[in-house]
Amino acid sequence: MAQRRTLAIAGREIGLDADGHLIDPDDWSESVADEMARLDGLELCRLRWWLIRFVRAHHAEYGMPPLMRVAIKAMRREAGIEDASSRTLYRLFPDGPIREACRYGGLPRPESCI
Amino acid sequence: MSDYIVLIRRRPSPEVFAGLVSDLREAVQAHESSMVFLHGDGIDASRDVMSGWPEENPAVDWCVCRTSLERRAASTALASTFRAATLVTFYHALSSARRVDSMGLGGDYCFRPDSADRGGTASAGLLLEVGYAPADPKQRREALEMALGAAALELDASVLFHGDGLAHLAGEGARAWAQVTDFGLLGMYAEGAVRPGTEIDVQAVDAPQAADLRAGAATILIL
Repeated sequence: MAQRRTLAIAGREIGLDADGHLIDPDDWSESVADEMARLDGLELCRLRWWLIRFVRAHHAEYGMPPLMRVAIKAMRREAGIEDASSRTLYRLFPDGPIREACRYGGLPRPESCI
Repeated sequence: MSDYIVLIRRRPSPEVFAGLVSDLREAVQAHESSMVFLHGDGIDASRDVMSGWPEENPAVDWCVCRTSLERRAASTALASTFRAATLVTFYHALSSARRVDSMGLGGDYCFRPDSADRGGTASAGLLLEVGYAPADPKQRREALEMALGAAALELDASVLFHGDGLAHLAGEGARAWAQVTDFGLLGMYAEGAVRPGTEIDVQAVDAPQAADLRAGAATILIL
């Protein structure tokens, strides 16, 4: 059985799965994301937030997170980073940009091996 | 590196299996290195139908899609001959393969032992054919993942839906396919009438145009 952790925020206990994703996506808020990042020693800067919001919007539209190449194209077009590349995304989240954006964005761990 | 690859996405029936093993043996002997990649419902082939033959051919790279396996983890244990791999592994191998065969859900027996090796690499002009209606959400999702795997590596690839495969473009879960056209990831074609109500911007083709797509593809994967 997966080992569960919890996140304490504003007097509430929020459940996390073994991979650190929210068990209940409805628990997500920007404050929750900030607290998760703070505990990881990370600041959610403008670009990190852009990626988190883009991944959440893609998931809401298509039921799954985007391919990395989709996020890169969108970052060039929408976030004004003309030379965005996979390296840019990995600088934001070295442990896996899309997976980490899902985690901070309150989405389940991506199940695909792509 | 494998210069011959076979993709198996369905569990072969016993009668098909006999022919499959015979043709596989011939193809494997004719190539320096070979990979057998089990994906989706092809995972079931690793348990019983394929038992024995992999052990006789340890030089073949026997791969199982990790995600497909995880989805079936309750019913399937991975034999030691197989290794867990990803669709990225498959498409990387395909990029340098000289011949690729497939046995998918959209046809009973799609192995082509008499087809000659084509010049160049198998990823130059890749056509993914979807000719079956998804029986469950897993089948729908795994066909999409085959397409997204090719898109992730920016392969020159297209998807052709035909016959019962048009069902992928309608109903619950169909919306996920729209990311392919919305972001221009791959060509998407439908041979025949798409069901009313689909929001996916797929290009309709008639039978001669579909035949042209097949003729122009260096490699066809029957999903």
